[in-house]
Amino acid sequence: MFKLEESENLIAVFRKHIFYFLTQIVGLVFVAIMPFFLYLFSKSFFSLEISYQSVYLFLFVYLIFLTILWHIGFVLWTDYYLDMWVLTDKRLIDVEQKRLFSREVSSVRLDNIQDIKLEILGFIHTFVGMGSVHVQTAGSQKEFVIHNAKNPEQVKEFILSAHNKQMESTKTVRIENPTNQNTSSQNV
Amino acid sequence: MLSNSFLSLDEILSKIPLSALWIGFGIFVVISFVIGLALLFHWRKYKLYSLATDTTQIVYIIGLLTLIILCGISLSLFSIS
Repeated sequence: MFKLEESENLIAVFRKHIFYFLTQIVGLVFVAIMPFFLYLFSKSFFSLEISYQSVYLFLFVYLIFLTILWHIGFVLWTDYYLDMWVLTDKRLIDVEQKRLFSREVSSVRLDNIQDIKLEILGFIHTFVGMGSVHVQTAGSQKEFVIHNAKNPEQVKEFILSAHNKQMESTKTVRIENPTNQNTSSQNV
Repeated sequence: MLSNSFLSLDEILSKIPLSALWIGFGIFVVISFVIGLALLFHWRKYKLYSLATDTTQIVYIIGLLTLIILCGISLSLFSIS
C-alpha cells in the first residue's frame, strides 16, 4: 500500500483494458460448460441412461466445480482491478499485482522520465484500443511497463502532459528584490 | 445405462456412503469460506481508488453463498431420493 504525499494531487489511474479481463472470463465460462459438451460427446458413444437420483449427485459435483470457478473468477478480477498505474502531479506509481498477497509498488518522479514508448500489436489490439506503454526512466531504475493498457495513446498523453508541467515548474525561479519590493520571474 | 460387463454407473454411485458425501461437503464449505475470507481480506487490504469495491464484495459473497446453498440442496435431494 502507498500513500500520496500531502501536496501531491492525483491525476489519473490507468488499468488494463477490460477486453483482457473478458477474454479470461470467456475462457472460464468455456471451462464451466465443458461438462455438458463431455456429456453430449459421451452420449454419442455410449448409451447413457442415468437415474434421476444420480442426476442430483452429478448436479452436486457440478455445483462444487462452479464454486471453484467462482473463486478463480474473483482472483482474476482482483488481479485485473488491483494491477494499475497511478499518475500524480509529482510521480508515476506502478502497482503490480503479481499473485495473491504478493505485489510490487514502485514509483518514479516525473522529472526522471526520459522516454515513453507505445506498443500496439495486431488487429485485435488496434480494433479494441489496447496496447503496452513503456516508460523509460533515468539512472538504473527499472523500465515501467503496463501491458494491455486501455487507450495507450491517452495514457502517453497524460504522462507527457504531467511530465511537461513538472519540468516547467522546476525550471521557474522566483527572484524577489527586498529593496523595491518588485517581483519578477525568470526562466533558468 | 452406462455399464460394462461388471457394474453399472448407478450401482457404483449407490455404493458411495451418504455420510462420506456430507462430511466431504462440510469440509468443502469450510475450505471455501476460508478461501473466500482470505480473498476478501486481500481485496480490502489492497483496494485503492476503487469505486466498485463494495459492489464487487457483495456480488462475490452472494454468488458464493448461492452456489454453496445450491450444492446443499442438490445433496439433500440426492439423500432423500
